[in-house]
Amino acid sequence: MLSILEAISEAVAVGDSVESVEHVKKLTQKALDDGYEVRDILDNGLIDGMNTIGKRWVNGDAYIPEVIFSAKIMNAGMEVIHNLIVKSDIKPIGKAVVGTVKGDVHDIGKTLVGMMLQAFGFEVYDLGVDIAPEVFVEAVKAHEVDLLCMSALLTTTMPQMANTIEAVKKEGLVVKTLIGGAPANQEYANSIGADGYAPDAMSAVDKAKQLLRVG
Amino acid sequence: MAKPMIRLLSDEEVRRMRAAVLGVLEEYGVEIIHDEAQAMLESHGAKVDKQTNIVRIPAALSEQCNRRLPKEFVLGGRNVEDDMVLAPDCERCYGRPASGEEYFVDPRTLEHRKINREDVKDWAILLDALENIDILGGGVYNEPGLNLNARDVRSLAISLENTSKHIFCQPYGKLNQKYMIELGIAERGSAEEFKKRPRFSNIISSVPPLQWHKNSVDLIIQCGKYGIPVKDCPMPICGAAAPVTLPGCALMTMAEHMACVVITQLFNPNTPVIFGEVTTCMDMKSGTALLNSIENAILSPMMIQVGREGFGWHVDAVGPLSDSAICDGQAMIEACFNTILASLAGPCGMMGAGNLETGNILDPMKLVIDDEIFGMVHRMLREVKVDDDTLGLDVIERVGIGSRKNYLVDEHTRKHFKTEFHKQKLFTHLSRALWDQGGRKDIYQRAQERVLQILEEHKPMTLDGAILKEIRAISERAEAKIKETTTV
Repeated sequence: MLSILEAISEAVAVGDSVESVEHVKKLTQKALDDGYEVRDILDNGLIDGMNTIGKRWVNGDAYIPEVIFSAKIMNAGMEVIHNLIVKSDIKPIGKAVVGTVKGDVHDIGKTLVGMMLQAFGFEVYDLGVDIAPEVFVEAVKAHEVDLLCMSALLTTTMPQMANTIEAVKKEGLVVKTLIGGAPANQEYANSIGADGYAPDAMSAVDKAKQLLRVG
Repeated sequence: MAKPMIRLLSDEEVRRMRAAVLGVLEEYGVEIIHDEAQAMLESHGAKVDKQTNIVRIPAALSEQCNRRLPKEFVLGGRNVEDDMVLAPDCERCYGRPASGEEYFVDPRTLEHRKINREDVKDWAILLDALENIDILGGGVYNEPGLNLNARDVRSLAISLENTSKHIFCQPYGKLNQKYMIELGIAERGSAEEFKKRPRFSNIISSVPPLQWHKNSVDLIIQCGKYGIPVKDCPMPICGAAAPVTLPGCALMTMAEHMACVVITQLFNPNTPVIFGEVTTCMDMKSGTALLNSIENAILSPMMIQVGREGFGWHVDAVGPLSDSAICDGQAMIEACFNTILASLAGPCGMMGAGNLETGNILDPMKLVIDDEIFGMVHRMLREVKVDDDTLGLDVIERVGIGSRKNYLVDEHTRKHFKTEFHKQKLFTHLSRALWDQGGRKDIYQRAQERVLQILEEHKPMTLDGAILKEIRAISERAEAKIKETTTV
């Protein structure tokens, strides 16, 4: 028989229905009632389950909607212990803002990256589309994030990535920058001084972890 | 529209999808971020929520606007003989590349790199020479020191100089479109002539799910003022920006397109509109939006059928465009699957000739291979006549039975073989021994030879010197005046 933490982990990793969300809440509450530490429930239960599905995705055995759903289940468990997490001063592995640059209204690419970062333990602030450099700067300051992720689908809007990086540097903000989108590539990232480039959601997660030296 | 040979859906399913398209717009609405369009729609009975910009369009209004669409219109070439007429019963399904590509495969070195000015020119010359590709679509270039925001205008000017065929292009914004129209008028000689036979169509998109932004609405309204055909391609991503189920994704695509029909016909009745059934399917492993998976090959005939039978639309389908990064076996399988299925459903044309990597790359070698595919498509779509002559009743009797009898010398063979058998330029049917002796060239190498030969030999019809001067002057003005763009 599975231990309660193993059961939580499995519920996160293989959950595929609305009932799974309720199930993990109950299990998390039970683990608390049984006297498990918050850190233990997180590391060996909720996050462990997320790591399992994450590894399966990286190996090509799981798909994006499954990872996103597992994240939803994990978050349901986190809600149960939210107050205790805050009290214990447990931090996310990193904080990130994501947005599509000024003049560009394409949404889905950066939304996907935001969701996947969240699934892998980042606290994510999705600013939306058509985001001016100064708005990115304000968000970096307001949320004290470690990572700024920008997307552009068009070559005509791509220069806004350079403008945003320039604005961030001008303010002297300590934040890593990660870019993506159809016209971007590593060469362009180097030319504008971005810290990283990711061609798809999977590499975005990898790159984000690598830049912040986490995970 | 070519004569359809396959029907994926039953009559009842077509009716159901048609009703769902009208129903989505009436009940859920569409977000239209454009004050003037909102006011126009409201004055015609649509319900507008100013807070959310969501406009609910009554089915009756959609139907009324849809009836205003011209059934027949011209895609103008440089000369009348270069024109294509789109009519409900037109025989030829046009072929064309997509547009807006960033990368090019250099036909001399086979290097994959950014498009430059000479490539835009070569692409137009190559396409001008190909007999089965009817319309130009192509990439846009930029170089250090040039204005990035004016490259759509600049690239159109080069294309106008180097092909007589009709052009599909994507304006970045209203001002860019104004300069494009100036280019068209300069070539035609007057705005009236340009309106009669618009030299180019504009590709314009909504933003799924169910959003029309100000910039795109500005563009489709301005198209109407000049009679420029609007090629609307919504491009939802199945499973990410539209339902994962194929009929649901088709429904979203068509609902977004119907909103375009309503806006164009309210502002400028009779604006020519082409439905670009370009959907993408998300690769659930990487998140990449694919344009030519097997699901796309099912979506195409589905939307062509509902578009044609349900709404009377001219449908521009996804054809030989491939998601493969190189022109390999995968690229050819994808190209043929989608092209065959889509062409048999009766679109007015198909796009993707010469395209790789979901449409990011132009490959001249693939363009001439796709020209071959389109040649076969035209042959396939030609009506099969069954009469005494094609049954060959006379010739069977005349030639007789048994050995020493053959059809090779009979006049019936001489009369028909050139039209009955399609001639391929790039295919080889040599034995292995002869192929070895011939230098072991595969189709891509033979395509490369043909590309280089065309670029060496083909001279497009030149423009009058004064017109050429004017076109270049307009392009330079655009270069200086266009400051920034918001594009979809």
